[in-house]
Amino acid sequence: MSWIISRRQFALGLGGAMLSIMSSGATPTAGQNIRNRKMLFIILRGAADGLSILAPIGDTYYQRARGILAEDKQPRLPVAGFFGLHNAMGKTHALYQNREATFYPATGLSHPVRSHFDAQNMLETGTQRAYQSDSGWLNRALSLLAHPGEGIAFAPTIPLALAGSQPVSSVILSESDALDTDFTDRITMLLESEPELLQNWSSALNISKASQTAMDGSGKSKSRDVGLFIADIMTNSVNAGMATLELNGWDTHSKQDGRLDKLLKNLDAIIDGLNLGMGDDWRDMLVVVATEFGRTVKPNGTRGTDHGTGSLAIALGGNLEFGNVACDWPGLSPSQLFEGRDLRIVKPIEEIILGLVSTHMSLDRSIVKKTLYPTL
Amino acid sequence: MQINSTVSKIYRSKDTAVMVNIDRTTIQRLGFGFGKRDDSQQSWRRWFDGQLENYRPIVEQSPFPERMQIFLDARQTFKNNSQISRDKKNDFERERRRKVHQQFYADALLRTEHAVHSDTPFVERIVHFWANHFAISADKLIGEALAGPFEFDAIRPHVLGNFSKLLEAAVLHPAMLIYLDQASAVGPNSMVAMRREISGRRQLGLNENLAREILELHTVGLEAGYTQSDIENFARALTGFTVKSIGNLSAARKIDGAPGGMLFLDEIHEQGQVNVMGKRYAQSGKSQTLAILSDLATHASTARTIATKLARHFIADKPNEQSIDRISKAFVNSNGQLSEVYLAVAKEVSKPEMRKPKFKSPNDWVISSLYSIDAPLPPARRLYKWLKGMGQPVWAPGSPKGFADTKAVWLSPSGLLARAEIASTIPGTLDQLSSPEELFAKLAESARKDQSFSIVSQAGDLEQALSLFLLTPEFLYR
Repeated sequence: MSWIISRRQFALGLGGAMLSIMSSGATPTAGQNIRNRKMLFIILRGAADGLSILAPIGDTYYQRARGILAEDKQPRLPVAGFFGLHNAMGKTHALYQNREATFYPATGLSHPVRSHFDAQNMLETGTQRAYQSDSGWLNRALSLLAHPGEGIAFAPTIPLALAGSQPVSSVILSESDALDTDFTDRITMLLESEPELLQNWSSALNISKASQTAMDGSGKSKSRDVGLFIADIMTNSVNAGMATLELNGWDTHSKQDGRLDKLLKNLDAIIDGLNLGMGDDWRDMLVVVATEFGRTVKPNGTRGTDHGTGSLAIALGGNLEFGNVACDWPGLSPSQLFEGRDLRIVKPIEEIILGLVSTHMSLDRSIVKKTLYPTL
Repeated sequence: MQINSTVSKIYRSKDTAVMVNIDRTTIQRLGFGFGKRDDSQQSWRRWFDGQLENYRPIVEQSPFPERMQIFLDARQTFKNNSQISRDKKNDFERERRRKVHQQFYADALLRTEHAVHSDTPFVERIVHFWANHFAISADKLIGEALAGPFEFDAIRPHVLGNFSKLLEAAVLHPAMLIYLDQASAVGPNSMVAMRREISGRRQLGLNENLAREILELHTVGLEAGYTQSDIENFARALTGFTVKSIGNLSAARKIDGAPGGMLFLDEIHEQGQVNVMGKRYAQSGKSQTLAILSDLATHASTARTIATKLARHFIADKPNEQSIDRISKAFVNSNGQLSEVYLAVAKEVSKPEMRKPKFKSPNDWVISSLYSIDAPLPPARRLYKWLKGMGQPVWAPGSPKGFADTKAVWLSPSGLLARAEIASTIPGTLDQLSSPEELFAKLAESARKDQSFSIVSQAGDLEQALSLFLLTPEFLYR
């Protein structure tokens, strides 16, 4: 089921009561087995400006509210007749047109704050107060998989979102030669008396074999290659279930437009590589892109934006058939803004992730909620 | 008689063994392990006092102006110069970037070299601690140009003084003003903003970034309960602090002084009193910010924030509350005198019941490896690649929060694999290889030491033994 939202419908909602559109945004494709469902969570660290990524160009207050940030160098790509996607996101837009991607504007944490570090903590642990839990919701989600799956962090260290009692590993693109087994065997002996070291080490050995095959290409970590590398690891090499990728640099307090352009090109190329590399396995894949909070609607004094509230989430993948953008657009007129400065949140990110994960894994929502967001 | 004397001898030697062991563990926990200059027979207190006495705060003439020049050079040369072709400009730009990158890696090597060759490893660790507390992240070219000078100028000279001086030096340093966007912020009712409004040019205004992070990360912390309006008021007070020749502030260009220097310009300062955390600040000009910083530096919540972070760094991932209380008290009682605070930390570290094993961060592991076995430093780019591959690229934590400080973050499969790869390359750089006996003599006693020793001493050759030594649980942890 999908909903096409016309510009007129959106226009009607502005200034008066909020427009309400009923849709979950995604429905599962019928008749597929659920054995190999996988998921990648991409964290945009630093609070990405959702309003610049997916601009509500149909909002009558858009130009006025955004000022210099509404002056685009490149034409935006149309979404739902109301939004304009940033020009750097061409591949993502193609997936959207193919119903393999959708957008969730005006989202944020159920208990929003403007501290990066508290907000990232809540986004990753799934709690509604910071520093209440040592485990990430993706780690807990591993226990829900129909197949025994492992968590994989595509990073030198494991982010909180994936940390916890379920087995996790980490891997990065590496250009060095494989270590000889005489050496690695001796290291195993050394670490044997320390279960935690041993577990990490064994996991490293398994995945390093996998990544050696994945590295047959150029060996350079260009954006698209990162996507291809992730795809390779997630499909062929290990029993990957839940994975994370962290992208930094979204804290655009100054000179926002040039910086976002680069960041979004990188994100788009990674998504492209992932989609290409996964081939048929794309049908079992769900990618969720989220950030800790949004940014001020008005530009600040330095051609950037300060910490705000509502932002944007993106979902992609070949399993769910995504409908069009589903959102009660909260509006940009001064009276509609949260605390007079930020985009209001209309649907918490926790609810969005909960809906996506339950549908993707064909599980009852209440079971998923208990595991991912017990205190929601 | 004979029997008695033997007993007493055994007793005495056991006594000595215990005493030396405690000292060695404490020294190992406070420094980089045992290098050739560490006297393992010394009491920890004497060793510690020597650290503070012998520290060299200034390592060289401030590199700041020169680095800034490299950054600004090309920009000034051909900005608005239509005589120069586009290709030529591009070549120039590439060359400028290359120079900045190269200097950045050289600076990262320099700070590591200071640590590895230091007579005062404890204070070098403290330097790295504060550079991370006041983190600037070299995510842009200007950040690369200024990250090294920031540590050399704003951190190194102030780590043994009073916290309020360190705070002031760090947050008002040009590198910080640029990193957290203060340099281009302008008071919305300042003279410059008014002039621009009259002439119809683009409005300049506040930027909350630096004010927010000083409160949240550098001083009192979120638990102190300040509000969004405290942040905005502090941001108003901070306007005026800027950097010469950066950005488009013509007011900052007209002032004399070396490019890149910190300036306070009354013309962009938002005049008027502000309330921050329940206190009114009616001072004019920069004394307003200095008064706020001075109050923040001695705030009880700041003492607690700093005590907790130091305890986490030196004592345990989850330090005992009593340890934090005692360090915090030392901070309050001494009014933020840092040498007193460090002594309180060292006392806690010397108590076996308080300290828990700490998994070394990548930076710590690399430095303690090179320090312990007296290995030459790798070339600058290789060193940087090592640290980046383990998730801790020098001066580029990606956020003003800096790098994390717990095992949960640093112990990962890819991180361990990277350590193994690095360890396998280090012996090749040495002229002379130590025996496993000599290597293990560098470690404090521990329950597992014998087991690791037997595995390492059965290695195929001395090179492999050395690599394995760096990967023993006793060396991965401190």
